[in-house]
Amino acid sequence: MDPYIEILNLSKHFGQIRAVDDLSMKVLPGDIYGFLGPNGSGKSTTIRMMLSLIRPTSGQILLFGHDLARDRYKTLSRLGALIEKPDFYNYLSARKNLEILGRLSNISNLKHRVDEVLELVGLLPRAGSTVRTYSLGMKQRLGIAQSLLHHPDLIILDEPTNGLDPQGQKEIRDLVTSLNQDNNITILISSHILFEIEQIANRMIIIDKGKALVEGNVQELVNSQDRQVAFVLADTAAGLSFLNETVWAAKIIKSNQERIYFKINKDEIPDLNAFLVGHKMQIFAVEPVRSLEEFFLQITEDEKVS
Amino acid sequence: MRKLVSIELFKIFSKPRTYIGFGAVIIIVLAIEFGILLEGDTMVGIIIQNIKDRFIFEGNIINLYLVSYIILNTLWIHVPILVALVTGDMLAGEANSGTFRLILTRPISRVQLVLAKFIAGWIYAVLLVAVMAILSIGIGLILFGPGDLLVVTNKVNIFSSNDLLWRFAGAYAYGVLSMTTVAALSFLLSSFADNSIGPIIGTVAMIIGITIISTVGAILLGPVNQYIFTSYLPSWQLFFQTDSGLSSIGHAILIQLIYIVGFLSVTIWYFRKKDILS
Amino acid sequence: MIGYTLPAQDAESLLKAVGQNMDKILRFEADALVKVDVDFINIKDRKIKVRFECPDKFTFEAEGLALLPKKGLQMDYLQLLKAKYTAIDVGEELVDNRKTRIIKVIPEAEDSDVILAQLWIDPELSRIMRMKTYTRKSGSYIIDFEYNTNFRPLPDRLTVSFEINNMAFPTKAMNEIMTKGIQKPDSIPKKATVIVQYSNYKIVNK
Repeated sequence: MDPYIEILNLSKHFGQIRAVDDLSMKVLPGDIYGFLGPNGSGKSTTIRMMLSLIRPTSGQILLFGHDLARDRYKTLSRLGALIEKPDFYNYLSARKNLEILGRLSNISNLKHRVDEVLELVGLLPRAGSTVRTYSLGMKQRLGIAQSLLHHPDLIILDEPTNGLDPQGQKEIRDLVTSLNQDNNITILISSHILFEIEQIANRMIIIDKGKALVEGNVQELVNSQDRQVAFVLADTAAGLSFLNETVWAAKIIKSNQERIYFKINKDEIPDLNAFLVGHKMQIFAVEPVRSLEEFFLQITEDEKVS
Repeated sequence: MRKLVSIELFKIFSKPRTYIGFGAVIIIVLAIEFGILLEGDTMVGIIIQNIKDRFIFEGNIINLYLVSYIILNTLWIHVPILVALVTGDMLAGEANSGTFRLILTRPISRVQLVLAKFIAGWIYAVLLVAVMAILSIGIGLILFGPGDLLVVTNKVNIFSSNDLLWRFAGAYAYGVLSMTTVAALSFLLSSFADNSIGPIIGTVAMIIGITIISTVGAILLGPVNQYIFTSYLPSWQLFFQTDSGLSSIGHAILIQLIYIVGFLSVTIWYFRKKDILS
Repeated sequence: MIGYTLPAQDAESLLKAVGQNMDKILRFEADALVKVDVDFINIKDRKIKVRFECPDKFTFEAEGLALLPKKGLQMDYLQLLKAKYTAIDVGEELVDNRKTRIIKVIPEAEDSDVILAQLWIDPELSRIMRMKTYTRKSGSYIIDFEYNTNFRPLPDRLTVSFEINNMAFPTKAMNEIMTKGIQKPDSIPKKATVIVQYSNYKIVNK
């Protein structure tokens, strides 16, 4: 089966700036594909090129096996997208917005379909309100709703959790997972937060300064690296003084009033957990913490070593 | 295409600014009509002082045709602002609100979108002129009644009321044409911009600026002026001159059409390859 | 030689005869076609209705807008002759193939708009053939009277000639300013002629 997205040696230059530089990637049917990179790394430019909003300087974009430049209609009708901020016609209701977009996509039985997607993202009760009155989270969900209108095989979500509170972020992640699993939709999701991609994606690419750093299976990529984990204990001070007497002291990076941060291998997490429990330390939470920047550093260091 | 136009019309008529346009036309027409009702005699008296010295005017000088003629003069600056208010927003507004990302990722062509938007904007301009025409004639009929039209240009032309229907029809039709040129200009500027203030102000500034330059520099620019579109914005007046042949109207129409096609072509050319970065 | 064979009428009695001729009329009504010929005025011929009621009340009724000369249509000599004046006979002249006497009339009233009038009177029919008036406010007018019959004291055709200044306010067509630039209006006074063709006289005598 053809990859849903195949990008070959894609470049985009804005004057002297190389926003995207010889990038290649592949999204396979069924993937939740993480598109990772820090802000300004060229993710949005790449996504906009995939959607024909920006013309590539060079390279090729194949969607569903068709060249986007030649078969724009055919490819775009199988593709849904939410790019950056979820912007709508603020002076219109959510339903009217979707109706306009649905008409552009030639959707049959449009009113019914609009209700369906609004139901899916949980906005049906507020469908008649103007988008102006929506919170960012609601707009984000409406953004996903519009991307689903025309029963796409693939949706592209550009930083869909940006600006949302943790609860909102989780809702979006759950929605993405369920769309992939229950509705069999392939998803490309971009983010600058590794943790987010790690939780939902099966494959991912990391880019920086417009270039691909690494592409592959998420678990393999993540597990090959040491990770930072924060333990939230009932009594941080007691825990810290206890741990300082043990072999785990070497693994502690820093601590504050709520958390103790460790740099440990994935396999060591249950060991540490068991160790603490064994010593009657109450654990409220174990949180993976790691910034993309640190992950980059590791990857680039690893690349240098190898 | 019809679907795209109807969507664009729906958007236009869902926006408050559209009704600002119609509201402003209504206020302008009312202000002029009542202004003439109060001060019309004095105003007309000053203009035709020399004739009043020698002639008795028998009949109704201030009538619905005169006020409609005076209101037609708003096609030069007032109505273009109101046209640009909407057409200048049509492309830039979507760029500003980020909604291009929504519609241009749908299976529609950019050329069709531009044309649909232009047609929708044009329909708005036509309605604006139509509201102006109907209102100025309607209120004029109530306030002043019919009569013959006295037009003072470089000559004094007095048209019998039975000779006026085609002249006003021509003038309003020409008004639509010149507002189409304004729409095309603001549309072009709108394709360059990412917010609608620029194109709206730009359009008005260009009309006023070019007019001033071409009027002040008429002697220097003389031959060039015949090819500048602003020179032909008030050419609806040609319909109220007895000695001007149809050829000068034809020339005015031709120049306007050339500019409309020109502005629109550049808009399409530019917008087709424009990177949507907003 | 004729002056000796016919009893010489003096200026005053000539004017009186003209006045008496008109005094017979209680009221009249007529249609008129007004043709305005001024270089800078475009107006088609206008049909008007003229009504007169003794002693000097004129009303005009126009379909649409009509331009009527300030002097001429209202038989202004009637008012002139009713006020105090000095009349001088200054000779004779052929007007429209009829022998006329030329009488100068100087109104005595200080506030009279007419400063001087000169009338060419057909002594035989006691009708005015031509009139020239110099006014304070409206310049000078020459009015030619033409008659189709011998019995009616009212003219069938009037030709009013006078001078008129060009537009004081050249509110030029904006499109002309923009394509040709602002042009100064010439300040030379223009010749104006108004021809009034009467028809359908309905006269009621006293």
